[in-house]
Amino acid sequence: MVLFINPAFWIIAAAVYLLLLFETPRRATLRFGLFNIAALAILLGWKVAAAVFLFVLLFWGVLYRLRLWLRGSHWKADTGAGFALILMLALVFWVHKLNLEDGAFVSRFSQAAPWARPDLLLPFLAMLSFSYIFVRSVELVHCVIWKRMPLLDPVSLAGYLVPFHMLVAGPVNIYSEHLEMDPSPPPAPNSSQVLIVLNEITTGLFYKFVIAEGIRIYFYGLEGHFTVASLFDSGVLVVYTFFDFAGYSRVARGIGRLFGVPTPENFSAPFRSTSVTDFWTRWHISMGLFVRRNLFTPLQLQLVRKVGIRRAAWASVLTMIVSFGFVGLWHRLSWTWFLWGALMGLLMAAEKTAQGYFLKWGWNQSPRAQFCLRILGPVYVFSVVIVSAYFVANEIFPA
Amino acid sequence: MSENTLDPNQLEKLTGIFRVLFNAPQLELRDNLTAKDVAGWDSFNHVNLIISIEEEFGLRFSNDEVGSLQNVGHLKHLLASKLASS
Amino acid sequence: MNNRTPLFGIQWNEPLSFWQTTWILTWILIKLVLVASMMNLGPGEFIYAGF
Repeated sequence: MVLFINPAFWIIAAAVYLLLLFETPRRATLRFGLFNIAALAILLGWKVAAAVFLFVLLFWGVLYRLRLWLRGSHWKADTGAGFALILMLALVFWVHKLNLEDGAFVSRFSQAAPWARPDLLLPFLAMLSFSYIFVRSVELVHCVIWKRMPLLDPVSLAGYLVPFHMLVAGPVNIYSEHLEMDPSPPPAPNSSQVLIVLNEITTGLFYKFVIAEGIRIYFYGLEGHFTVASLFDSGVLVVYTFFDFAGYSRVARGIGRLFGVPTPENFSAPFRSTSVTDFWTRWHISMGLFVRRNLFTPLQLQLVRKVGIRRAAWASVLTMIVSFGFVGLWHRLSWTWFLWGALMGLLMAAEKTAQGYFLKWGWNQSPRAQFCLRILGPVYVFSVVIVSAYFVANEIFPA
Repeated sequence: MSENTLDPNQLEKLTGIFRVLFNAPQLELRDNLTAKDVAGWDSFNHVNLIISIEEEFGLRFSNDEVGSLQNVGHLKHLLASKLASS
Repeated sequence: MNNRTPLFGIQWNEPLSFWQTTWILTWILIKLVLVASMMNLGPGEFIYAGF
């Protein structure tokens, strides 16, 4: 969020907005890609921007060659190539998540191979494998290799993979929506719409700097830091995280609307959820949709086709554990986070079984049952979220 | 575009699948009906719905088709074009 | 896209009336003043920061 209190960020955002207003025959993705690289260069320095572009160029080159090679090939070749690429990405992601660039590993590596400049290489790899860039890269491989969608040029691709207004905490934008910018670019917002967007952006800032920071200061003091020693602390943490993350997402989405760059919605009243399954369609929505598109649906389809629809519920237990295990590991490479994800998956599979009975008993038709669900559901969901946050709190705030 | 429209018999079969799966005997398949409008139509039951349709009509959807379905009208259209080409 | 702004019931595709514009501008200003006060800056200083 520090980025959003940097006046340079807002000046650059305003400049990009004004520049994008000029109509030129160039494609919308290319125009945004160009301005995005310039924005990254001003915000992060030209060396970082050049490194980002080199990474995207390399990635683009690999994808381009692979597509040529796979033209007319058997689907098994697509699958092999796609998984090989994702494995490579996962390796870079792993390096990032081990935080090697912060430890004694750098000095050991420097002694063993000084020519590799690990002091530069490791932070560079860590930056490239920043979690959101990783998930966007996986989405790109899925779309370009398996779904055979068009591959953007490297400049436009940098605008999809490392958009400067989604630099801090996503959301996970959708490749097919980014492609749609070219054939049907959204019209530039008129003056009323600009005001609505400014309202959205300031609400985001209000969420973060007034409500979230207000909560932190109230409970932990001006210079205080979060400690989670009880379930109450965990509850405070959940509410703080909502206003912090939802606030950030609103700002990013508002800027995306001004630019005409698809920036998905990330939160939709999560504390009104009536089940944990419902909660994950309202909290960090773009990540939930990413997992659904790229992991849950393909895996569940294959499994249910194999085992038959009667065993779909059992198949879903495995799919849920894999999908949410991934979400857990995406937060941090640790057994605690994997277990957190796997247990979430199990709980949702259990909810599915319960829902099956509710449908069988016709409770979905009963207004009284619906009323009870609307009242008790959020209490149950909030309790689960508090307990789950308590479970991983030591990972977030080590003692 | 008659080849992309379901005949009454096919539409009845499709409606039957929805009604049984979501335990909604009165459900009518309007074109603008989406997952939000039907209790229990989530990503899990979406897969079950697709597999049920595949088994009933003897065809197969790709992952891409399953993921890109927007509403019932879209599903009807896709199903009709698949039936016409099979 | 979420085409509705909950606080004012404003539609994305409809032009704002004079009063809606006034309300929304006031509300934006209030939020900015509060944000600025949380950052120990004077409101003017924050709003014009960098311009």
